[in-house]
Amino acid sequence: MVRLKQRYILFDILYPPEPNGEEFDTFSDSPRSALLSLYQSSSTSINPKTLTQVIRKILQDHYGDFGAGTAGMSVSVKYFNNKTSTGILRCSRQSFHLVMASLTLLNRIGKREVIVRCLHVSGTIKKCEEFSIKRNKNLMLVVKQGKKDNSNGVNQFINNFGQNEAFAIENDVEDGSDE
Amino acid sequence: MFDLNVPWPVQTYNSPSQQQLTGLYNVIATLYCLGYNHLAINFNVQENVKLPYGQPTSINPIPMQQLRERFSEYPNLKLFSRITLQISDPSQCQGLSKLQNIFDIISIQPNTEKALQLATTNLDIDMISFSLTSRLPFFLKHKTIGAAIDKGIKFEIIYSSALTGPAGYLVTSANDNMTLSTTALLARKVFFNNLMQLIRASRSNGLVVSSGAFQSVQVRNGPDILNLLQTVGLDRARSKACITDNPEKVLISGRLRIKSAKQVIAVNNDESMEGLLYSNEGEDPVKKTETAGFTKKLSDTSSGRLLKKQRIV
Repeated sequence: MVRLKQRYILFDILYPPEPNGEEFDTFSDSPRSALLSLYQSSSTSINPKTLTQVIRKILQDHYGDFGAGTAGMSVSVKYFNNKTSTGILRCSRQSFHLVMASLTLLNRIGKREVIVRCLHVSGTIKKCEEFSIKRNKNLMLVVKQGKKDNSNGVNQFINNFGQNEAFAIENDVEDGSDE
Repeated sequence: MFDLNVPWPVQTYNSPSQQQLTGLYNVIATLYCLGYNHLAINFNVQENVKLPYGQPTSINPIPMQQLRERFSEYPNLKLFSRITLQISDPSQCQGLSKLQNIFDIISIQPNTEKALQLATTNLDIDMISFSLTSRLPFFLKHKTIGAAIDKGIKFEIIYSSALTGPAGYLVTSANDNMTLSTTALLARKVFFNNLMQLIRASRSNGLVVSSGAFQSVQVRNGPDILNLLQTVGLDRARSKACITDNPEKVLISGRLRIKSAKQVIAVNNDESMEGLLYSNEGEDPVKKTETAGFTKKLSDTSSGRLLKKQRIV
């Protein structure tokens, strides 16, 4: 009997500045301010359920009943962190290209315009977690290296990812006990 | 990664408003955060706009020096200038040779089959782009496209106009339901059709993927876009070259036009190859726009200076 195979996609949501928005003028002042403004936390209206609905709708619009049946039925968002706007979704192995394409074709969630970016595709959810943790550590280093001009924003940013790291440490402990 | 199409917000010689300029800065910053570090600012010219050939210094409306100063804090970010000429009547494009030393990249957007024929055979250009969201008025033949690719001309795929803006999802009702308007559906349909034609005619060779984003929401991550193109039929093995190798070749061929004699010999011993091709910060804009062309003298290089000294001794 062959096992049912799937793919886990790690994605994140970026929030570019909107015209007439607060950060429109200061966004491009330095690489750090751009990064801080792109990696915002998401509103509570975005949760795994709404994200799954959005992805299914895009698959229905672009790939019709066939796409919605083959790819859409197997999609489920397994994890979404509102503070870091990062999530992991599961889909079937045959159709993960369609799911990734639907994330590219997405240009807004609710009222806010967003960029959704796939960071990693893997066969197990654990590798996605590990990749996410590694990435966030590197990002924090980049942000810390900058000058201390708007320390308030940086602290908030680091706190957001700090929680994620606590999550990482828990996992490491679990690994040890398994071995 | 390379993105060779960051559009200059106005298509004429009028100066852009402050908001448009800030929008351009934001697009550049967003692209930089997504990992694109070689960007070309594209000045798209309609056919009826008269270029001021009389005064070479005012042909390029993009203040490159000012832009570079604005982004001096961004490590490894390189900015270039590019012009796209829209051509429908082949007899209209005469002064191409006068543009050569002013813009880093010269590209053409043909609107008729005749113009495409001319662009692929006679003109000295780096890239050909099509407006992919409206139906192409002619059939792309593998013979013409293949001949152009053999010559080294690349073909551009601009994705932003098909994914966002008027072609994107809109929120109409109060309950946050996202819908595609009929024009958006048509634009997406035509975009995929044109994409398929271009991929078929070029056999996945010599394609360049660029954003063409007027707002920072229109930008996408490079690998994601390639994945989308792969679902349409782009060869997986050749896809990565669309955002790395092919745009680099375009940039090199454009830069060599400025920096070399007949695109064959470049005089430079001080710097590495990359310095020769990419470091355009120190260029003298006045010298660059001389009608005689930017010719490097032997005395400009260290070894040249040595040669001169030897001759004197």
